[in-house]
Amino acid sequence: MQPSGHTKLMNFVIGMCKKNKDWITVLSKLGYEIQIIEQTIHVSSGEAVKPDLVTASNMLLHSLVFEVKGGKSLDMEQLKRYSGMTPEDLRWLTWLSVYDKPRLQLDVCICDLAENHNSIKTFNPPFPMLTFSSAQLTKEGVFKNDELNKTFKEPISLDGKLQPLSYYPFSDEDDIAYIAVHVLRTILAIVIKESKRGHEFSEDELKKRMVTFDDVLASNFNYVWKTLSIEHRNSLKSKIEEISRRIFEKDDVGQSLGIIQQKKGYRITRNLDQFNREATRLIEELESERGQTGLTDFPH
Amino acid sequence: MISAFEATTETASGEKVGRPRLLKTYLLEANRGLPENKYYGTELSAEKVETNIPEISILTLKQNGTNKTVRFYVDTSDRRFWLLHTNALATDARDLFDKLVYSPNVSFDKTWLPTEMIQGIADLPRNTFRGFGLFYRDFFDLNQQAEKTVEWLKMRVSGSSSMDALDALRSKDKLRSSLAYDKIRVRRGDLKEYVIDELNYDGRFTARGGTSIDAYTSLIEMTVRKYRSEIEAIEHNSLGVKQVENRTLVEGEAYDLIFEREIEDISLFIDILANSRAPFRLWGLKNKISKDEFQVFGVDLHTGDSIDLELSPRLLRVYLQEGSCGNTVLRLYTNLQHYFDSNITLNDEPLQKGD
Repeated sequence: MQPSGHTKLMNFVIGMCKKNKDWITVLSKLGYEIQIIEQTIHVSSGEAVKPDLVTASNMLLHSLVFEVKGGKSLDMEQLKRYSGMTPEDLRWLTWLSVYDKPRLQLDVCICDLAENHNSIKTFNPPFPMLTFSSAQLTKEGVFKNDELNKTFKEPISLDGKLQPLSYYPFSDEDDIAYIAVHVLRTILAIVIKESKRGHEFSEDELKKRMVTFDDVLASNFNYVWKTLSIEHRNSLKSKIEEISRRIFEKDDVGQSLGIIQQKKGYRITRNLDQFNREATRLIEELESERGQTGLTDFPH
Repeated sequence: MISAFEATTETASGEKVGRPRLLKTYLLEANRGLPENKYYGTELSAEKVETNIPEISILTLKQNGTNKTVRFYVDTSDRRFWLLHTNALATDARDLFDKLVYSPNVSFDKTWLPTEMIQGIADLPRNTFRGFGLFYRDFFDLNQQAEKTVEWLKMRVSGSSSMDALDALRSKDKLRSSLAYDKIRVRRGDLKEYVIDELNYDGRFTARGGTSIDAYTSLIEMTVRKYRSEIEAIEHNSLGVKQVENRTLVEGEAYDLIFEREIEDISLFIDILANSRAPFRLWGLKNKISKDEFQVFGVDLHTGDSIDLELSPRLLRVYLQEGSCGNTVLRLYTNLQHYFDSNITLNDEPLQKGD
């Protein structure tokens, strides 16, 4: 089961700003830090853009604004709006932590996957592109910042690297099965945590809580929840609710959760094993149903 | 000073003497207190009695259906790292301590001291290295057909040349991945006031002899200080979304546990690592990304926190979320030293000695 192209690329870029040696750390070495995810920025032209990621480096006094494209198409209107983006648009933003904002420069960068690159290229994006294949990271086009041009001049090998996939857990572009794994795990985590606090849910209480969850609970499913746009949150919310509903329709899953949370102390691991088997079965079922247009199409 | 006696015979004066029992201290990490419902599972009962000192209580653990009972004097001066002192028989004390820690209703864990940290403690001023014990067992020996490296290794070496003996073992290629400290023995103090102390990798101290209880407690204090510093550094770097001056930042970084030994079958490795059982205490759903890349969507059974893992043949990447317990990383690291590869490194460097 693969995460979506969007989730992969978001993780790859965030990973480049971290120091994990078994991934590419070039942006981290240049001082780039993740500033924000999916934040709307109003540009001088009066329009608004919503980059997937904004990074900034104090070392270079430079911001690298990423539009991540996990699929094959580009929104031309959006690209036009990015063209109107100037360093001035970022300088007044309070969340941008650069010590000398008047000297801040910026580059917009399109990030895509090799399998979609030819399609994306047909849109002739006016920005440099970073393309990930399973073997390497390559650059096309020219950054305004020369350090970046030097850094990405030669392809960077990904041989022997372990792709990071958990900095940005999942998005609404992910397959239902991929989101469901997170949901199943989180439900178990909540049950165990609450039991340790001495709180035992009835199956109904637990179900109600999961299918009508709030933002606080949502952060348990996806810790970057607070950073996501309202639209993204709403889209994910409906998916998580549907998955939760689906999980609790499974008697075996509910039953094994029930035994775990009752915590009668005997052979709890056996019940955790059982929950693992039931969860795996459900994921396989969801995977086999891939291709359906929505969760509502699932047979009940 | 530090021995009590198991009554076996009676002298002419009526005094009962017997096999001396040693003072032992168990260092426990408590993310929460004892459960309010006083339920510890089917195998264990516990009774707590307060004393005149608020931070000290007496905890009596009993194995249900047997006569096995152990009394611990619990020092909770440090709300997170509790000290459980006892002079009960080591086997009983250890067994019941384990049952308490692994009881599903509590948020307790042992403290897991990696080999480097134990060495750092041995090297503290006023300590003299007196010997060591090694313990290694290959939990992940998955290929029955392959030529074996080391399946199991346990040894004890004492005396002034112990370190030379350890260096000799390290020079053997076949052994180098299986040399993890089970325990060390140190003499702490000066000529007159001293203790001979043993420290195990799972946070157990045993006073083997000496004249000074202060020397004994100071070694425990130093160990707690080093351990806390390592745990807090790990937690400081956990993944989280933080509000800073109207900014919502994604901060923190994953931990890379890098192996010298290659994992032959990652899927089977995960089945063992995340089987919900001690010592790793992780539950997880695995996901294959490619032949050599897997994800694990896990739950740490010590606290119930979510934890994400990623694996390749020589790497285990750990994503600890904000609010999670840093002990999880040290539990993984230390036990992988004992059960897979003692040459594991954290972020490509040996773990700090807690300096």
